[in-house]
Amino acid sequence: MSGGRPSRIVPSGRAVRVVSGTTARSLVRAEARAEARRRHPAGRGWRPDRRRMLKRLADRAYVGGAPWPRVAAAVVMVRGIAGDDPPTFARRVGVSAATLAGLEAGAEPASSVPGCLRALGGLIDWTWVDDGTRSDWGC
Amino acid sequence: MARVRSGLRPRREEETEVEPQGCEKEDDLQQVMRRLAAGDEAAVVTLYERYGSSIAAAVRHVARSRPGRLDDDDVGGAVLDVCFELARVAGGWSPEGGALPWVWARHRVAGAVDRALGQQAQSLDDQRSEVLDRRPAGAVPGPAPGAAAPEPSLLDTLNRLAAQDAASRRPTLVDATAAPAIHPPGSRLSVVGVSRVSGPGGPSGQRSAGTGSGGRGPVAHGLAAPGPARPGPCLGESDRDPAPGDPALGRGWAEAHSRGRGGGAPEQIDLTDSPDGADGESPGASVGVGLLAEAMDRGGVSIRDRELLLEYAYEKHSGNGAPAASVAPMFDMREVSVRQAARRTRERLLRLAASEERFAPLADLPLLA
Repeated sequence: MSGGRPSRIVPSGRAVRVVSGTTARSLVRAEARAEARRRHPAGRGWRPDRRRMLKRLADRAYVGGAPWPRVAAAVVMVRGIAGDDPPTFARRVGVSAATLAGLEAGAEPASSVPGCLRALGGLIDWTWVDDGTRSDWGC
Repeated sequence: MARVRSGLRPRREEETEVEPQGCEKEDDLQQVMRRLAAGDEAAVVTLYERYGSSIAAAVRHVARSRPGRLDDDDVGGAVLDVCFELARVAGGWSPEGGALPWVWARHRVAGAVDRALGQQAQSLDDQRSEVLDRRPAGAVPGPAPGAAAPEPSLLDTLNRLAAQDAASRRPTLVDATAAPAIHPPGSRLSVVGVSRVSGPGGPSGQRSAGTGSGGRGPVAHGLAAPGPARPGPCLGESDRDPAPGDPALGRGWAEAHSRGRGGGAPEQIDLTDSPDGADGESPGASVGVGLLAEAMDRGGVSIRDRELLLEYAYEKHSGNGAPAASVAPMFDMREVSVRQAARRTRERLLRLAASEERFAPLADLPLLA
């Protein structure tokens, strides 16, 4: 180890759409880590089932009385993938902490979701989020 | 993000921001657990995304010690369960303990595995699939029209059999001439040791063996239709010729389709409506189902405890290594409470069997073993 600043090697995972600023960078890192684990033999083929997790989160939000459970699940899911705490994530996506709290509580409709989150293709099926309200739950 | 790192070589200033992957991972895990302890639901996703493979390995490790088998889908569900379980107990985890959270909470991992093992669905075999394919469009798959009600509980079945026993149809709990352990695991009624009564066409077990569908389905459950002319309730035949008023057949359907859990061997109950079947047995050769119901009445066993004992015994008899984990959600109880209630009921019945001679044969029941 001589000279120079050690640099971190980030595994080049599958392409992640870079949206803007720090949110995209953190997601890139998270994706890269997940991709590296997927390739590692120790993972033995296990990969996170995001659709299943999303459904589970939506069910929990529904049980909790959220008017827009799918919105709550989607925003919680994205923040969980980013690994941020609420204030950090609110800053990154450019909304107030109160707005973020409302989104995560399922109190806001899908139209309130910030555009930068909607641009995260591949993570969330936003058409599924847009389709669902509390009234037509039960699938 | 300057952190202290261990090492013999003096650290250069510019390296203070860089740390080995393991340390970063540990810090990351601590942070995730802290967020979980604080009630941050998004941290469950973080845990799932970043440590799901490790949790999956822990799940597989536990599953290897269980009799059942988890496929990848089951493992995925169990990993999700473990993540949410860890979120509930994250406040109790401390990195100073030195154990990873899923190792520290290994009993919760085991509980998730047992729940997954206890809720496995059984796919339709080819014969059943063909029957469903033959149904006319729009027909609702399931039991015969008259038997479309929800599956009766084990206790309902027991009570019905007890009523039939009282009416001298004589489905029997214990055949005094048969070994008590002849019942295949996985058969719901074999838990209480219901034994087969030979009908006029020979033993129904033989009939089932001739028309069975690989040991799965109503035939495997050995629920023969009333009357000597009616063939065994092979699925295809019962589909063409349903018996809406026959509760036994409906029960067979319900068991075969709703539960989907069945053994690979013929079950040993025959509700054949034949006087020969009843008269062919010597009155003292067997113990009626009614005796068990009577013993439960006599022992003051509550309805809930009866159901609980039957469900618990069924799970146990089916090879479920942790029956309490599967039964507890049914009764909204904790696992330890389920075990206690089942043991309490069992001991109460065994005391009754020991104290009163006429209840003595109950001690041989697999249910009370």
